[in-house]
Amino acid sequence: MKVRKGILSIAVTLALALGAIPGPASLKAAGPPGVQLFITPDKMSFRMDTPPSTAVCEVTIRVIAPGRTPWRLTLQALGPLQSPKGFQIPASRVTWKGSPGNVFLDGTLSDKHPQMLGRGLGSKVGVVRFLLQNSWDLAAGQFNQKLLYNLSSP
Amino acid sequence: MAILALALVFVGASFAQAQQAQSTAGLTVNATVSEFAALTLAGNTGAGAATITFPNSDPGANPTVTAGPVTVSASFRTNGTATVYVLPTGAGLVGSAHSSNVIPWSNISSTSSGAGFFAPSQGVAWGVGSGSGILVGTGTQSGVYADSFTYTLLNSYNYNVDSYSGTVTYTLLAP
Repeated sequence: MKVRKGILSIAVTLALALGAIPGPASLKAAGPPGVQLFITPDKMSFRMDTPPSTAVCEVTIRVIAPGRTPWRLTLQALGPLQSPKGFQIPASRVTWKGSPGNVFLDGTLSDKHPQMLGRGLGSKVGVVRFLLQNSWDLAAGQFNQKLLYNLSSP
Repeated sequence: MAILALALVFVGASFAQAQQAQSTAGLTVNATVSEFAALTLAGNTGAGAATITFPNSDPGANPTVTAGPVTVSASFRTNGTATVYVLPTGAGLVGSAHSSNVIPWSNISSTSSGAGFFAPSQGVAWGVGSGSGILVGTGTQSGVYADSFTYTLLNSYNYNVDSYSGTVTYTLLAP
């Protein structure tokens, strides 16, 4: 009899514990629902002719987050801009200016660490102007790289 | 005991899953960097050309005379080898009073500090130009390079009295 009570006690405790567990984001009563990120366009092309000058590309960023869900957005290059002939442009040559400034921050691209691009509460839309300094020391050619946006919400 | 252990593991996993909602997106970046080249001569005249004047001097006292300096600046962007050549025009300095009076280009030389890109420019004697001319600069690293050139004329009693002039052209090639 004592043994049977013991088992019952464990089962009840387990059920209560499961009821209090925050579930994955898709469960309605389990923490913040998912946030979504939309970037337009998904490709940008810098054209650099006569130096010294600055090439500019612009993207629109839309974060969809219900209510006042907090979020933060980071950006990281997967490497330096690379040409087929092996020449490189360091990722740090790319900078950006975000607006509105209270949501989207100014920054410098890195291929070592994610850099903070924005943070906010709820849905936001902003524009980020990417700048690439054009100088004589760059080798001529076509350079390519991928950038990775990471939107997270605690 | 086995049931309890399983429950704890499950609780832990659920917390981890709910820790953070996350979304990622990629952006492709292309940059087109064009070839470009610019060459400037900075002397005592305006942009695009420089003039040097050799002083009149007793060849006995001064077997050579110098003129300059002229700052030669080469700016280029390439993924090949850039070069600067000097190409003299005609046979040499030609007299204004009598065009038959000629001081051959081979009597003139130029030199610079010869650093880096302009390493080939040290003590270059000018012969009659042929082809691209006389190499005074070469390099593969895109950038801006400048050096100060001075010019030397072999002085001689054999030169006819006249006022001589001539033109050389500096050319930057950046493929």
